[in-house]
Amino acid sequence: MPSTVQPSTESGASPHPTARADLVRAAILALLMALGAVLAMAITPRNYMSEQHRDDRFANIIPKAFGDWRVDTSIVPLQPSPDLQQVIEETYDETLGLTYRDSKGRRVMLAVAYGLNQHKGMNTHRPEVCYPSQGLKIRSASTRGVLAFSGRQIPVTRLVAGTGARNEPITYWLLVGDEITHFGYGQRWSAIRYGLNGVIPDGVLVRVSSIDANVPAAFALQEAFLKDMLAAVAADKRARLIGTL
Amino acid sequence: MISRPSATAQRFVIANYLPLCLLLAGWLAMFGSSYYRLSTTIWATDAQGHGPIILGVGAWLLYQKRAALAALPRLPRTLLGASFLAVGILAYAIGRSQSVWTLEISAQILILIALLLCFIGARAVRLAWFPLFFLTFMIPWPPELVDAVTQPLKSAVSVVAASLLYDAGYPVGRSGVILTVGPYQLLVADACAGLNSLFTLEALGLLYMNLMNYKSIQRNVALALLVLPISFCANVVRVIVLVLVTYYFGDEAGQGFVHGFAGMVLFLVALMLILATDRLLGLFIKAH
Repeated sequence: MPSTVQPSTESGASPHPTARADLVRAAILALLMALGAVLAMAITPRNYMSEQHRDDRFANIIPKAFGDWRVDTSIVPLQPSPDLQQVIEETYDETLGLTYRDSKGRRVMLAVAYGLNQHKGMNTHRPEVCYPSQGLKIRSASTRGVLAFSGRQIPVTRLVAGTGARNEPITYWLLVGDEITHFGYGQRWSAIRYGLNGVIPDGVLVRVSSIDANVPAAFALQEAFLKDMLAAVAADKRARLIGTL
Repeated sequence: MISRPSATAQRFVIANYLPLCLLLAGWLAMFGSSYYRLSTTIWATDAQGHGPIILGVGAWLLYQKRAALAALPRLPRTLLGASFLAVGILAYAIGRSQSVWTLEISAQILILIALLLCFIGARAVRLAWFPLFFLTFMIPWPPELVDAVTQPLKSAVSVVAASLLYDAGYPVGRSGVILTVGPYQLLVADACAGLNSLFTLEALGLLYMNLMNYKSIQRNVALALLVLPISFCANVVRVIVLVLVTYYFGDEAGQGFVHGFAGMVLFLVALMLILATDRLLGLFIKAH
């Protein structure tokens, strides 16, 4: 047992501290604790990584028509419930929901959610959370995949949600600052690394889905859609969607 | 004439308490604002609503140990204490600045250990192990971890509740986390499922054991483990009550009930079950 070791071997420990020694000790400890509070304040990030992006809307970055795809204005995307809508408006600096249609009549729904501060509730839009909260069941658990685009391997997550006859395969990725990551520990770890460098990273969730009973075909269509879309985005704006890391 | 001795006595008292006051001031410099921010954020949610109670009870448990702590021989372990303090302050600073509640709030326990080591010694930590351990229940764990633990239980609760009600002849159907009762749909969402209360109930059970002061290890361990099925049953009762209120009094009543009284039902049921289980255990295992 370590406690049987004579305390006299330890620095500054006397077996019978006097009241004065207690006071000094307490003062030192209190001072260290206060310094801890100051340290925490000093390393708290305050600068937004991308203040300049505030007015650079995704609605302008993502083209309304590219490749064989056109925005289908006849379809209004599924609206979230009013209380969820309120949360979304309070949380994000921009949300975008569009339905595209190709010449064969196939439809892909695109959703982009952007927050200047990725920490502020990006999880609200996490598909694994967002779909069940609207009554859709997760039919097949999330798997990780990659989207190959111009020499980059973009890590994406795929899952299938649905209710009744509606079967909705989903592909999405999450961008924290310049870094594509996964929800959960990966996201938090990225944010902490940015934060310790004094910046608050922004966050973008890019999600596509289509209503299709054939899951592999839907994922292939979504992959083709995403590649067309990224190719159509102006080269200098592409990093807003897929980062640089 | 009388004022002189009383003034000396007063000075004596203040001198005794001054170190403690200093430490308390240091503590508040660190955690005062944490408590404030907790109270405006996650303490207001169902998942962490028990936080302030755990903190209060933890402080009270520690206060109960004051005489026993003061009676211990003073063998400060300064070096060890300083290490705990350093790790605690680092965890706090990172957690606080990067919004990682788990680190920020865990730091409380590390710093408390550091203070006990620096002032009294290792035996103080051993004496105060229960309040220290109890405080772990107010640590907000990462949601991924909590989900991994509670998710299977959560679906099991809705399955059991739905089939019990169905067997009792109610028109109840279940699809995933959605319960259909008559014309109404109940979403057994995260906040409503109440299984975040698993941690709260476990804390409650441990507190009960500590207050009963049983010496028998078997009895304590058995009770601590039995709190898990107890909290499961209490949650089933909660969901059943919720469904019945909705069925008989409508959606609005059910929703009002969720945010008002359902949690109380959960705790009353759990408490009664804990007491009953303990009585039952008492028949087989002696307390001392």
